[in-house]
Amino acid sequence: MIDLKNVGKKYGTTTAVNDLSLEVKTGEICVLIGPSGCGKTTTLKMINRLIEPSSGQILIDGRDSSSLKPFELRRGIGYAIQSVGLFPHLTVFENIAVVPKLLGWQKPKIQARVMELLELIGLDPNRYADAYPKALSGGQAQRVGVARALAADPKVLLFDEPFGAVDPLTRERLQNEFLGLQQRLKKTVVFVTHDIDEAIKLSDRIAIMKDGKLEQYATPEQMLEQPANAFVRDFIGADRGLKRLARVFVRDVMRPSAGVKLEDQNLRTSSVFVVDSGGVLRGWLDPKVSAAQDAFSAHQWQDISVFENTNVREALSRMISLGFQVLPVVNGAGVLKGELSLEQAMSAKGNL
Amino acid sequence: MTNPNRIALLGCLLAVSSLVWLPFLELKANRLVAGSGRRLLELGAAGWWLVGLLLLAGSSAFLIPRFRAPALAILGNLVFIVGIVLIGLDASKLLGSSTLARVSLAPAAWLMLVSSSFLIFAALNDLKNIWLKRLTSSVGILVFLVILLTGGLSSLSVIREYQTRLDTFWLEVGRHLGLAIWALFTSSLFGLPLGFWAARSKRFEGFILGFSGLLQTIPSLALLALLITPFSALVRAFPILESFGIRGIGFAPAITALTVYGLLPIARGVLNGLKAVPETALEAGRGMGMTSVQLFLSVEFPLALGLILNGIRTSAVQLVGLSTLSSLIGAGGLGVFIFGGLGSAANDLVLLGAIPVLVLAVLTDAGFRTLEQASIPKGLR
Amino acid sequence: MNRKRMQSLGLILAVTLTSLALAQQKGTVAIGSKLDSEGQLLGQMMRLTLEHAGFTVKAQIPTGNTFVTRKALIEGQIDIYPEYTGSAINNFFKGQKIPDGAPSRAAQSFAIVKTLDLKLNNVAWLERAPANNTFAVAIPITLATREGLKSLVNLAAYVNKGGVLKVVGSQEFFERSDAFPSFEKAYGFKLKADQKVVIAGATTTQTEQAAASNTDGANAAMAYGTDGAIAALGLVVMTDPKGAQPVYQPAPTVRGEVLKKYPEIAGLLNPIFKGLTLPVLQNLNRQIDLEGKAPLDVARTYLASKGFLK
Repeated sequence: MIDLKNVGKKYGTTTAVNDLSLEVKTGEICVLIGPSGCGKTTTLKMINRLIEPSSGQILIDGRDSSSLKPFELRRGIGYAIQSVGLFPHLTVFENIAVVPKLLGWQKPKIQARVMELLELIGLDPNRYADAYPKALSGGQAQRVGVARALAADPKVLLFDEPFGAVDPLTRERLQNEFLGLQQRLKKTVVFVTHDIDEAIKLSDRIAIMKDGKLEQYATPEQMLEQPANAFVRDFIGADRGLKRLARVFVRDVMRPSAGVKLEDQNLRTSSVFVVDSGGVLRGWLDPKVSAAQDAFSAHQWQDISVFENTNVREALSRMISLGFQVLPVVNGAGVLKGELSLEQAMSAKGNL
Repeated sequence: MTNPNRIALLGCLLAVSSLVWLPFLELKANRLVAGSGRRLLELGAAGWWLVGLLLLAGSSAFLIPRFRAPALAILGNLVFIVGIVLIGLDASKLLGSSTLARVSLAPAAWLMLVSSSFLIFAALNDLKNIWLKRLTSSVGILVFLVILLTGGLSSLSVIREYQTRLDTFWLEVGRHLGLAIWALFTSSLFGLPLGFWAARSKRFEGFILGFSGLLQTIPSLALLALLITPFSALVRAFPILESFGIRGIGFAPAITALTVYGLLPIARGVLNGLKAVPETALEAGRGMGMTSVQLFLSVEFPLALGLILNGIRTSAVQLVGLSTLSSLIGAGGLGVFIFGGLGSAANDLVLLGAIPVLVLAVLTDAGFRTLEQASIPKGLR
Repeated sequence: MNRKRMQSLGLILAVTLTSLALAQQKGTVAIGSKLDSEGQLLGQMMRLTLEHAGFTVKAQIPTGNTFVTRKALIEGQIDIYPEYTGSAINNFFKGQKIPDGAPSRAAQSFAIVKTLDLKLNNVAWLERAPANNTFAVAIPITLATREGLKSLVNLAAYVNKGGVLKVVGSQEFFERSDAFPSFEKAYGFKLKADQKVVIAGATTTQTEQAAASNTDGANAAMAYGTDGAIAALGLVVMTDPKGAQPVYQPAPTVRGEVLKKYPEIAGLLNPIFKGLTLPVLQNLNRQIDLEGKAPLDVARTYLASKGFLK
């Protein structure tokens, strides 16, 4: 648990953060958001004392952070930043191993941990462990940055716009991977962003700030439902209904779908999705084409489906871009798990 | 037909025409008077060998690359070696038994040597095998050194100067190197921390750069003269210093003056190196819990090392050159020959000092460049 | 056996003590010189002589230019170096009253320098060489014989009747009032601007070379009287019968304390400098400048030939 008590930061006569109190529960993701200059990054950096607070107190799991030496405090807190900041002269392995080394871990333990993390972030250890940062793509570098923050298995993670510098598609993928990781790891995370969609998608709670003051601290649902004031309402934007869909997952609103076996195409059941003997999605049948053999259109499942844990907002956007009224829903291996219709997606809003 | 190798062809044409038209060696009645030139073919029929070799090399430039490279490698080295041998033989023939006369290289000899290096460069471009390359680029130099050391060139004026100053030449070379090395050491001793300090404090940065820039503008001669008084006073106050060789003139003030000039490139190298370390790497390091010492040793220093060494190299090469000034305050060095030669308008004596300084500077530069290359972290190459 | 060992130990001790005492008695002397070859030659002569007499010599040859070398002497960093009377009069006694005309009279200028330097700086001047290394004008022998030119009196007459003359010299030579302008004043002639070739910072060897090879039409050169290259380049010096130039005679200058401690230094160096006449110095300088011999070698050979080194 991270507990900020009346924390303030002054530079001369200007106040960057003013009497901020905030409690981040263990295992939760708290997103700090606000316009630039609102004090969100300053708040984040006060937690690991890259910036020393001028006033107030910060407790981490009940312990006053000022009771530790700054570098000791930081070794127990994972830290990832927008520009990644990988050390260009060190390999991917060495970059990830920095904190474990600082903590004096034994070599075999470091080796095992780094390999585990590379697997976790989906980089082939054989190929990437000895690569230098300049050989990585933007997305890969961000993943390594996250792995580096996770290296010593800290309870607390501080993320300063870690997905800010990549293209939207990669960002979406990284966000989903991060949510998947968090489901397993249950870290206490403070996450700074200026992107309200990212905040709604990732957070358990959002702290929205303006001019160094906390405007509202609530779950995304509460905030969308009841913005505390005009500033919060404006900041969230007009499409609050649509944004809310980001909090609902396909698995909660989809309906079952049997799927047509490849060999049974001409049977023409109610379903239009075709699967193979393993249940993996292979394509769809066009109901308007009468000749069965011409109706089948084969596709890679990745191109036409959404996952169970995709949020409805993204599913809706997928539906629109594909021109489907009904989307197939698959698991990570491409096995058809159900389908999502437009009406169901629309009704998700009402479920809240 | 493949295109002829233009470099090789150009070199040969240049050399042949200059050997025919321009003087090969210059004969002076004595060290000071103006001399008269002699063309290669006036000096004996052996000169035709050189012309023949050059023509052969020129025509081999038209061969296909597979045959051209070895042909140029062999002919280039042959031209060089035969040229050096002819210089040695013709010089001693010209000189006869005269003790006063001097023989030195004239334009055609220089152009012939340049042309042989053109041929060798052309061959090096085409050769693939690394050992053949090394052999091609070193065999001429080795033969040259053998001829030089066995006295084959002892009729040349510079070698004459060397022989009359045999007892002091190597002493002065040693002093010169000692001065440069010590000055580099003290320059680093002060320059490295100053650069570090400047990188840490914005206010100090301006002061350091301004101050050491100002020091560089002090005329060297004035600086040397200025240093006599404080050093003499120091030695009078602490006579023990004299047993360490510190005196008002000589080594100590010379090193001090050289340090003043060697400081800036080193401090600037450190400053530039540390400033070039990406801010994000520093923030990441700090955020991960590195102490400032750990951050410096494992992030800043390795990332800045290339530029730091670059600064040290600049300083080292400058110091090799500037150490000539030490002879103006009684510290010796190769400047003794250079300034002595300038004073009595004896160009050969000037060369006796200047050529070793040049060689030392080139070697220093090459050595530090190798070090620099080796020290750049793999991830940055 | 034991006794024998004792004896030999005693002998060694005695020898060591004696040599220590001798070294103590003779002591250490630091010798410097200016950068020019004559300066280095004289410095090396003094060094060899004192070494031969049993002194331990710290040689700092060359030390530097006039300013540096003189400063090193005053600060006690060297004990002896050869200096010129004219140079001393011009540079070392600013603000002292020097009688008019004294600088061009050899004996008088030496006496002045000797007295003033001892009084003001505790620097002693030993015996001077009877050779004048002052500024002079040198012309090709061919011109001198054709026109019958021997002295500056002849040269002035030659110029005034419209004879072709073009002098090459340094800026200092043409601008300093006691250099070339003093010749013009004393002998009553005046060169036009196009009769002067000015080479900034030129040495006399360079100007002599220029005049010998007729560079830029020059047929006369700034020269020093004792330059070794003059004869070899086919030049001849115009004599200065009216004494327009200050006299530049070289002599050892010694720190007073050192001379007081080792008065025998005077006795060692005086006979050597007495023998350094104009032809002798010209010949020795010639060996260095023209034949390219090292100053140390020339000094050693000369001293040996005169019996100063055994």
